Amino acid sequence: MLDGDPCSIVDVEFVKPGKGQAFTRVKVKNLSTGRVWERTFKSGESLESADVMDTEMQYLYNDGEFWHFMDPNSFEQAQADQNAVGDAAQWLKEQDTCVVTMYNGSPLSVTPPNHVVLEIVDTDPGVRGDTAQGGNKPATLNTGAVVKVPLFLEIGDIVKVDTRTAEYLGRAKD
Amino acid sequence: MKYIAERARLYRQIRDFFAARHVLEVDVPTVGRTAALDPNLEALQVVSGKQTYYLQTSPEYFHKRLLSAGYGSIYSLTRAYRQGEQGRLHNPEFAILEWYQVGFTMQDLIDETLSLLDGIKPDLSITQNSYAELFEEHLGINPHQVSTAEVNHLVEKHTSYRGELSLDSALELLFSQAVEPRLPTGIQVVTHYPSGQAAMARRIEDACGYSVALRFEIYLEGVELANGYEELTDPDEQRNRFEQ
Repeated sequence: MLDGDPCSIVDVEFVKPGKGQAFTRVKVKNLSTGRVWERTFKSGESLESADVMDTEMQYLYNDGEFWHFMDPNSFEQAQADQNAVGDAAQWLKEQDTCVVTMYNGSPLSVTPPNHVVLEIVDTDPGVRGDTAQGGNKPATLNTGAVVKVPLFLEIGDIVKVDTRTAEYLGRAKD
Repeated sequence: MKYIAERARLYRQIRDFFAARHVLEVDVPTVGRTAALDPNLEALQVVSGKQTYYLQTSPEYFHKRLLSAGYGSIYSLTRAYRQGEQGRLHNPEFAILEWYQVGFTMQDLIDETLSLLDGIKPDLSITQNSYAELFEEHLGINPHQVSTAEVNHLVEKHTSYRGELSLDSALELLFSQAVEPRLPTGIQVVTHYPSGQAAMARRIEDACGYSVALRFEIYLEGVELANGYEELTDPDEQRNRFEQ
């Protein structure tokens, strides 16, 4: 815990002047805000540990205010708010397994699976026989995400997307 | 393989250097019944039977016994051990070269160290400054005169440490985080440390009347390579320091 927020350590450097007090310089990521910053401590200083845990959970549904997840082993449910879900909202598909970071028993952040298979619900019509030509067009997927796809794809086509880069990876059969 | 061969060559160079100068190589224990009296050093412990022994954090105490017994100028190329020192530039077990020259002044010792380094890596540019000069240049303060409050303010400005530090800890952290990265390329010799960072060195009054220690350090490309002193030989003062 640092300044009231749970943080994870990204890098550590041991600083020891030849004679004298040793220090430890750490780079930390604030798990609430995502911000990466640095702090130096005296070596041997204690910090409060944060009750943070990553759990694999299944996405169930969204009730308009919360996104509901279930731990497939314990069947326990958790609800994540807008803040916790963040950008992941546009990739969540029912039944998909996500990583939910729990802090003090509540969802702190949600990480969608690396790849997701979604359906195109809106896009400009493609031109038949356009498979060879390069270029792409925006397509809205059933979760609301907008992704650039090749020109030959139509409404109703199923596509696979990389959630980390929002890149179209290929067609898929659902 | 290349590094192993280079290390062997380095060891040979060091031994030739001291042999030519008639400095005697001595083999001192790395395990002892006591540990060094430095609040910032922690010794590793070993247990043999019912007795706890300490791995030596440096050969210093054994060397000083030999010096007191009249062995003259001596050196050891050996291992030292420290608890809690691990990082890019630190390992709990490390090789240390420690030597003593009877009758040398601090500058004599600096010159000798530079000579040793020159034999190993010639043609490096060499800069020598006092501790105060470097603080003036890079942080605009006189480290012998600055208040604890002011130096803590600089710690907040130049480092990511948050909290109150003692004057010497603050100066040490500032030196490491704000001065070291700005040292010129090549070799940098730093002399005349504040008295509070003097350990067992002789203290004198400098030209401005500040109490400074005859202690120096040698940096190469911002990495601390060596630490040296003109040693305290007054037994009463030594007792005082131990008691402190």
